[in-house]
Amino acid sequence: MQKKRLVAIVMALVFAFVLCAGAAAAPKLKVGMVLKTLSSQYWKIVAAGAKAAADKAGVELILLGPPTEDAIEQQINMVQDVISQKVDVIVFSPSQPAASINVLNQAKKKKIPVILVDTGMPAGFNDYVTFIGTDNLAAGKAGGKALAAQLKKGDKVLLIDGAPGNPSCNDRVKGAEEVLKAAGMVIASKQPAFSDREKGYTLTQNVLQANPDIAGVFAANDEMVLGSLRAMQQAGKKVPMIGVDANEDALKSILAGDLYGSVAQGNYDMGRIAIEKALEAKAGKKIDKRIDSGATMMTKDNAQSLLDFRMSIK
Amino acid sequence: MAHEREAAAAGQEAKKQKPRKNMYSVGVILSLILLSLVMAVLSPRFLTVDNLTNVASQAAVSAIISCGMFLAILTGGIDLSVGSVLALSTMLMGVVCVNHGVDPYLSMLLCLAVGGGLGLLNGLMLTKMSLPHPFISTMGMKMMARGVALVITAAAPISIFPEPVQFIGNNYLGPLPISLFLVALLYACMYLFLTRTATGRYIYAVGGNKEASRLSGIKVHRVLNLVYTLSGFTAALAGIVLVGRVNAAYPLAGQDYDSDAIAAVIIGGASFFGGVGSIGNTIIGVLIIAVLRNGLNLLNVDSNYQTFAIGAVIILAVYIDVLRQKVMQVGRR
Repeated sequence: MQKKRLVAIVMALVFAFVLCAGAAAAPKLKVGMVLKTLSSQYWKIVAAGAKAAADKAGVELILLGPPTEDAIEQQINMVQDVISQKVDVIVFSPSQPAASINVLNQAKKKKIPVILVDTGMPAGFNDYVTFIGTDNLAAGKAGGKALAAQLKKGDKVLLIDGAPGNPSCNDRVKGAEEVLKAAGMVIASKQPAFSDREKGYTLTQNVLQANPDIAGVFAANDEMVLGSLRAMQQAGKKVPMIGVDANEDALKSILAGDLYGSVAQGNYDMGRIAIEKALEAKAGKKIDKRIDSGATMMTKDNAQSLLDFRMSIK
Repeated sequence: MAHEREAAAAGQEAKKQKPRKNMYSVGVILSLILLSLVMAVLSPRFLTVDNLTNVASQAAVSAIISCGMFLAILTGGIDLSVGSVLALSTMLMGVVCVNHGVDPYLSMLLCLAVGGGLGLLNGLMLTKMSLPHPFISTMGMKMMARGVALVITAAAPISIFPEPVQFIGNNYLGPLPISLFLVALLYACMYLFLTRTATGRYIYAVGGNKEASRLSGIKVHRVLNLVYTLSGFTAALAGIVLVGRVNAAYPLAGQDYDSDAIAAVIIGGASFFGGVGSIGNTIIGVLIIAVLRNGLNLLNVDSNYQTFAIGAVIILAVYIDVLRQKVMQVGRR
């Protein structure tokens, strides 16, 4: 009796999930897209861009991503699973690039072209069609330029970086630093806060002990700048502060007049361009090896329109 | 006097369990077959050689870890540290092998030794330091090992391993992944160990009733130390397969496998109360999870539902275990 119950419930579960799977129409191209996760706002927007482009072009899109960005093995299994489904093109964003080489070699063996989005592969790995992502150095420069415009020569600036060895964050801070130094600002402190809000908060508290006259802050992502903002507010200071990502919290904070701005990545465009390039790759067209998906400085002037656009996606 | 009676009762109980255990085996195997049939009907890609070898290679790492986890759960314990032990032992292998050019075979031996050593520490925390439950000792180890794994290279992954290290995880014999043969060998050895050797029997006895085992002359501490050492060892062995699969060692490796291994053992019918379970059913538990994940991926189902599905299957399997306990108690009255 027990085993019958086990079987019955397993069957019921399976059927329940199948209903969620949905059906697909006859496609002209089958694309397997494996992202870092589908559970965060950032990745939902990448997925939305891809879905819209796929619907428009009549492409069948298999969209997968693990529950969290650090579920590395699960992500690699997902790439294997789209390979075994014989997709025409794979769109992939590696959570751990170094660990993804073998699975991409499997794709190559099956002659499936690979398009990378958001995150590239380690230097020396060239078996991909194109890498579509933010030019992080340029994004950092855009943020640095906007911050410099709010400051005067000799002002002290705090730079908050992501984890050491996180190339996207490191490049953004590098870009901002170049522009700020060229404009005559002083880098009072440059430290990592591991892309974490609470760490940005603690770090800023500590920095304010030594440098109470910080006149501006640039952080490599919004989580850190929002943490930093809280520490500044508690210390009774109001200075121009800029992050990267333009996430929902940051946009709301900008509209409330707390954050000065945030550099928005073109994540919707990443998804859209990936599908367009997949079609081109299948048609045998020549494609640039590196495509910048763009970055836009968001301030009080344009934050509302981006926020409205994001809301329309959910 | 009372103890002797308990010991005798435990012995009789073990004898009586046999038919029930077989009934559960049939149930688990049937579920796997049914699940596979359903997947095959729903996705034409499921029953292809490509995909089945896929499932086999994906299940291998989990299968090896689950082997050690099964032993820990069989003694009424648990090993929460396997994923972190995997990460630390493979990171050390990467440091010596890739960064310092040490012989790949020697590096693999070091990896296994580190895994076994960390496992032994888990055992000693239980037996020598008398920590109240392996949940605590292995949870501490989970955090410590993960911490060290992150520190040694400042969280950077180590990649491009020499061919011998990649051999098991990355190569195929015909259509069959080499790792499949390793899994078969490991499970065969474990089956013989558990059923044909005195030590193997002691593991069941300790899980069934520690006090009775002690009184009947079994060196309970020695058995527990051995079990946790083996669990650390299999975690490191799984690590070598994983490194071969992805050609990299990285400090966040193995995070998914902690709970997957526990789930596989539980779905395979091993009792959380200890003393009951079969290694053969554990591999079926591993395959049920692997087929579930692979099938749902083929069907393009959001991974959050996969997490939910596996959670639901675990609760179900343990509930069946509870029902089984109740039936046994009624039977005893």
